[in-house]
Amino acid sequence: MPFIQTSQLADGYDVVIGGTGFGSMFFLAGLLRSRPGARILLVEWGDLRDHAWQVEHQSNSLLDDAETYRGEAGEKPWNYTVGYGGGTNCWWANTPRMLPTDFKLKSTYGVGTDWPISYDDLEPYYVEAEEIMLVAGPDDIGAVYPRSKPYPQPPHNLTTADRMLKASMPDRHFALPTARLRRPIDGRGPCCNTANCRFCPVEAKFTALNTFGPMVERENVHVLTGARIRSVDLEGGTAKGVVVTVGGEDRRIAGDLVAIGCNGIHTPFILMRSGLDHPALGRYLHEKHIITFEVLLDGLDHFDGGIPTTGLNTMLLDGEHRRDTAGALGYFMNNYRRDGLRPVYGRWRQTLPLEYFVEDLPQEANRVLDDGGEMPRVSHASRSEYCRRGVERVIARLPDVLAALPVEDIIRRPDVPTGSHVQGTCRMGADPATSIVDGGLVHHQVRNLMVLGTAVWATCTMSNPSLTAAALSLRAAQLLGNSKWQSA
Amino acid sequence: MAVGLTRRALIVAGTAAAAGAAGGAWISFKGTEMALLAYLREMLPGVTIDEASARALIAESTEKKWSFVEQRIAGVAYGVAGVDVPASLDQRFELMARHVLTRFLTESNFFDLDKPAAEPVVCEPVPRQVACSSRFSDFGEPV
Repeated sequence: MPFIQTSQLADGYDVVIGGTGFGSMFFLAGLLRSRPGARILLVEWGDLRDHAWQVEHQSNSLLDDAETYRGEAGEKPWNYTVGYGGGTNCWWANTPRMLPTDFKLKSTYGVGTDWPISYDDLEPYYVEAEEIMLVAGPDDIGAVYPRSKPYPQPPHNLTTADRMLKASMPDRHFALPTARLRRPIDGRGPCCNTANCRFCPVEAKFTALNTFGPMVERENVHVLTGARIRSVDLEGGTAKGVVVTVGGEDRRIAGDLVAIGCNGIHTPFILMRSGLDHPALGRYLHEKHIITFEVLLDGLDHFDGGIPTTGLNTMLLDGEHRRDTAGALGYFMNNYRRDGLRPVYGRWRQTLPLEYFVEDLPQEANRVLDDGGEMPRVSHASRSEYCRRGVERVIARLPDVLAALPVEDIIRRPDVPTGSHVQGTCRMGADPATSIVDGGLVHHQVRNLMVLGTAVWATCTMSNPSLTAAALSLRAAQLLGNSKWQSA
Repeated sequence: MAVGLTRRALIVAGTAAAAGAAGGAWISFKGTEMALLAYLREMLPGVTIDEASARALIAESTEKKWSFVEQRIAGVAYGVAGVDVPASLDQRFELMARHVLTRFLTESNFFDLDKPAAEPVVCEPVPRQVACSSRFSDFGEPV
C-alpha cells in the first residue's frame, strides 16, 4: 500500500520526507537500510506518471515547473520536474563525481568556501550510489576522482575522436561515467543512443521508478502525491511535522523527523514559510554555466560512440587557475541532433558537438525570496566574474584540448540557458552563522529538520550534481542511524 | 558557417516570405516551407528529393519545434535578407534548417542508397518515442 489517499494517512510518522527526487529517494534508501521498520511518509507535490505514460506523452509531469516559480524578466530560467521521482525522471544520467578539491575550494585556492565534509568522507557513499544506479564507467578515471571500488558496469563505447584524445592524454580524457546501462538487467535494456534521455524508451537510464519500486511497496512506507508542503510545523525549535495542501485543503501531518528535498527553489521557500530566518537562507542560488561549441573536423567522421555523451575531458578542470578563474569540465557529445549533421555534402559526420560546464562562484545577491505570493520569487541577476574568466579560458584553451584532432574550425554555439542544476539556497557549512545545514544535512538550529538535495551545495563545482546528492543522502541516513535519534 | 543559397532560390523564397509577413500564419508557413525546401535542394545537389515526404517532414518539424516567430524568422531571414543576414539571425536559421536537413537524411533512405542521385530519397519521419534511432552508433565491445 505505498500510494495512499489522505484518508489513509497515519496519525504520525517517524520520518516525513518532502519530495521524491534524488536527495529524498536515496535518503529513504539509506533510512530503510539502517531502520527497516521506520514508518516513513513521502510527500510529493506532483503526480505519479509511470514510464509508459512519460514515453507516450513525451512529458515527465503534468505540472509545468515554469509555473511554480516567478523569475525576473530577462533572467535565466530554471528547470526541474515536479512529479514522483523528481529529477530522476528528466535527468540525462551523467554521473561524474565532485573533485577532492571541490570540497575545499577555500583552503586550496582561497576562493568560495569549504564544504564541511571531505571527498574521503563521501567516497564510500559515492560507491554505494553508483552501485544502486548501476553506473557504467571507466575505472581509470580514478586518477582524477579517486575510487575505492570498480564501477558496477563497464564503460560505453567512445567515439573515434574520443579515442584519439584518450591516446594523446590518457589521464585527462575518459569515457563518461553514466547511469545508463551498458549491460541489460532485469528487463531494462542497455543504452542504444536514442538521445532522448528524458523519456528513455528502453529504461536504460536509472530512475526512481525503475529502481526504487520495491522500496516504496513496503507496508511501512507511504507515498502521498498531489500534496504540496507549505511549511514545516515548528514548535519550540523542534519540527513537529509538516503542513501540506492536498485536495484543496491544508492538513498537518506529524513526524518525529522532517527532511525536505523539494529542490533548490522550493526547499528554502518552505523553510521561510515555516518562520525560519537566516542570512544565508535562500541566498547563493547558482548553477554552472554551460557553454557549447561545434568543432568542424577535417576528414574524421564522428557520432560512432555508444551514448549521447561519450567523453569527459578534465584538461581545464582543476589547478592553480582556480584561484581567480573558474574550472571547466568538457563533455564530448555523440548526439547529432544537437546542431545537426554538417551541411556539406559527403562530410555530414565531420562535426563534433561539445559542451563545457564552467563553475560559478555563488553570489549572495542571487536568491529565492518569499514576497508573500503563492510561488517563490527568484532573482538571479548575473554570474560571477570568476565564471566569466572561466568561459574565456575555455575559449582560449580549447585548441590545446583538441590538438590531437584534425580540427578545421571551432564555432561557439548558443549557451544552454539552464543545466537543471538548482543549487545553493540552503548551503551546508561548519559555521551556523553562515550556513543552513551541517555536513550531515541537519539544520543547524532545528536538529530534527534536514535538507536534502542540491539546495545544500556550498560551492558550484563543475560536475553534474545528482550522484553527489544521492551520496550525501546515503551518508546522512547512515549518520542518522548512528545518532541519538531513536524514535524509529 | 553561413550556407549560401542561389539567388533564384532566394528570390522565390523571399517573395513567399514577404507575403507571409503581411498575410498571417498560413502564408508565413508557406514561406518557411519554401525556404527549407530550397535549403534541402541546395544541400543535396543532384539528389532527387521526394517533395511530398520532405514537405511532411518540414510541416511536422516546424509545427512541433518552431514557434510562429521562429517560422517567420526562417522564412524572412533567408527569403528577404538572403546571405547577408546578420550573423546572429543567420546562425539561428542555420541551426533550425540543419535540424530539418539532418532529419531528412537520417530518417530517409539516403544513407542506404549507393547512389542517392539515382532514385528518389523518401523520408519517413521517426517519432521520438522510437528507441535506438541513432544512425551511426557503435554498441560493440569496447576497443
